[in-house]
Amino acid sequence: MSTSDLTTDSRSNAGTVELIQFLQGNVKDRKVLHRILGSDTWYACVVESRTADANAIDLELMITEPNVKLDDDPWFDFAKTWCESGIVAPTSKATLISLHGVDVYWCTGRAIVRAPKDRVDAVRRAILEFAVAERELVAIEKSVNSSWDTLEGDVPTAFSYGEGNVRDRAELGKRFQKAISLQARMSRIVPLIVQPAQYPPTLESQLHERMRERLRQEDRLEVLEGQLDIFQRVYEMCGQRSADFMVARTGHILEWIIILLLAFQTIMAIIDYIPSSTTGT
Amino acid sequence: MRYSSIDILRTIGIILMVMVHFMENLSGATALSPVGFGAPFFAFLAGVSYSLWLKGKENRKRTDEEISKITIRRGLFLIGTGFIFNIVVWMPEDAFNFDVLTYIGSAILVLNWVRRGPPAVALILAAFLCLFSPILQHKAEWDSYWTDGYFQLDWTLSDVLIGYLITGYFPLIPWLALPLIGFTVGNYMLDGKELRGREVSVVTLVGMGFLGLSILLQLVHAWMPSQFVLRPDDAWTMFPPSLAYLAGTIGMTLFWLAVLHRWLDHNASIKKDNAWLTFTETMSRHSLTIYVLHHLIHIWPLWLYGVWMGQETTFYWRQAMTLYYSIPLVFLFVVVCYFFLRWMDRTGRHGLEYWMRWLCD
Repeated sequence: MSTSDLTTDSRSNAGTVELIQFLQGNVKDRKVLHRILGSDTWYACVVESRTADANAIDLELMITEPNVKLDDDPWFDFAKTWCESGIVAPTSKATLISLHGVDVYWCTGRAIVRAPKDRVDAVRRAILEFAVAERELVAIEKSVNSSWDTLEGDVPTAFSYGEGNVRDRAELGKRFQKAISLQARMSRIVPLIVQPAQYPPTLESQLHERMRERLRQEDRLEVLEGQLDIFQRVYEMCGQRSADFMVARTGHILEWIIILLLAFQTIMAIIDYIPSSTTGT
Repeated sequence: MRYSSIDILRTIGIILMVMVHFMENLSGATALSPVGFGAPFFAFLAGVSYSLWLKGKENRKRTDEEISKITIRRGLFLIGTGFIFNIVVWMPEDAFNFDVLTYIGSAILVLNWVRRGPPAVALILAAFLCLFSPILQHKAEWDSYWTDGYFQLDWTLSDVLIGYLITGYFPLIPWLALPLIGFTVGNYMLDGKELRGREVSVVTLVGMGFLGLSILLQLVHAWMPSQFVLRPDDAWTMFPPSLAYLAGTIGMTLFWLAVLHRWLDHNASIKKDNAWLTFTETMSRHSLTIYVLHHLIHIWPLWLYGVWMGQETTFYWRQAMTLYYSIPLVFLFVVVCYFFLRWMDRTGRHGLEYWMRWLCD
């Protein structure tokens, strides 16, 4: 949805929509809106056209200017509706944050701001810094939530590993790698979420802090840490069991070769000892 | 899922067995009999089927102990049926001739042990069984147990043991190799959900390799060390199974299973309910019943006719009729048997397979 899609009533509330993509690494050819510093450097880059690649858009940010300031202001309804109808399926309802004459509605993948012109830049920076961490957090949460069934299926393997599991070894290895890479991904966004309070406070720092609090980012981070710990423990045990089994298996094959050779030698010895029964006996 | 490839091969195996037995027991035509692929197909597919059965049980979360108990009961059922079959069909004096049923029953007991180990152990054991078999046949003096093309033994513990291991009709050495290879191939190649293209190609190539090896062994037969050759004048013998015969039958089963599996089992354009596949499925599902039934059908009349004519019971064995009659009888039996089995299915009557499941599962 863009401003051109809005109804006539809504159009009076509509502002400019910025399409933003968060990138790391080389952004030489891109228009960078803001540089976000954490343990990694992220760049909020402008996406010129919606049609180019819809999946490339991480955030749609609408900036509007205040007209009237009343409790029954139609802007709130408009902002809530616009936020919740984003192209990224919203995982929760839109959240309103009002601070020092600035209103921000936030929902997954969409944010709408109403702020005086002189505060827009500070508000945008706060939103972008928050959005990049939120985007990563939501992605990790989704990945974890979609893996519970697989984890439950793998739990027996963490306890006992047999011949039947050998074929799944590569798959288990991939799942272990995924658990570790999710943990690493989570660790890298911690500096964006857990930050010291800034003093003297600025609008940007206060809004950023308020958004983090409202979306419970720190609590969610803790929950995720606990969940990923379970994944890591299970797959670590699977890895240990599988490695032990494979080492023992190689030894077993050699042992069995010796046992089989001895068995055949024993059979030959028995045949030698048993007087052969011919038709004449 | 049901594998049409297995059904087809098992049907070919059972029809070949019927053919061999009719021609041999009614007409004494051992030399003209098909080259003995029936029993190897049957034995190899017993291993493949066990691997599929095992996967089914594991998917249904049956415990290892339960699987072991069922497997052992099934093995003992087949061994018991084998002995009863020998006594009832071949007379009590042939109770210990170690035919296909006792051998497959024993193979299932061995597979219950092998299934827990690495596949390499099963394959190494199979290789040892094949390679050591000529040496052991020499040591056991194989020829002294065989008179006029059939197995005879004294009822002593040593003869029974040697017959079971080396010199009987289907002794464990080397025949156990076939179910072992079948089991390993079943685990390796048959997935149930999708075609494992790479594995199927490997099995096809290995099958062709074995066929090549068989041809090579036949070519160099005259120059082979005497310990590995029991019949210097014949490289391809089923009794005793020569190395060339073993390589050829293993190669043939591997090759055809892989080819048919690739072509049929995951081919959506082939309807599974067409007449041919219905026929093979029916024959395959009732293969154990057919095995017992075809013996009763053609052996008992021989014995009864001998007694009725005032002769020895076995008087007409191998000399009841010429091939002109016995060969058409094979086809007559197969057709009648098929309709009989369909009637059994329709009317809810059960064959030996049902009773095995009822008793053992």
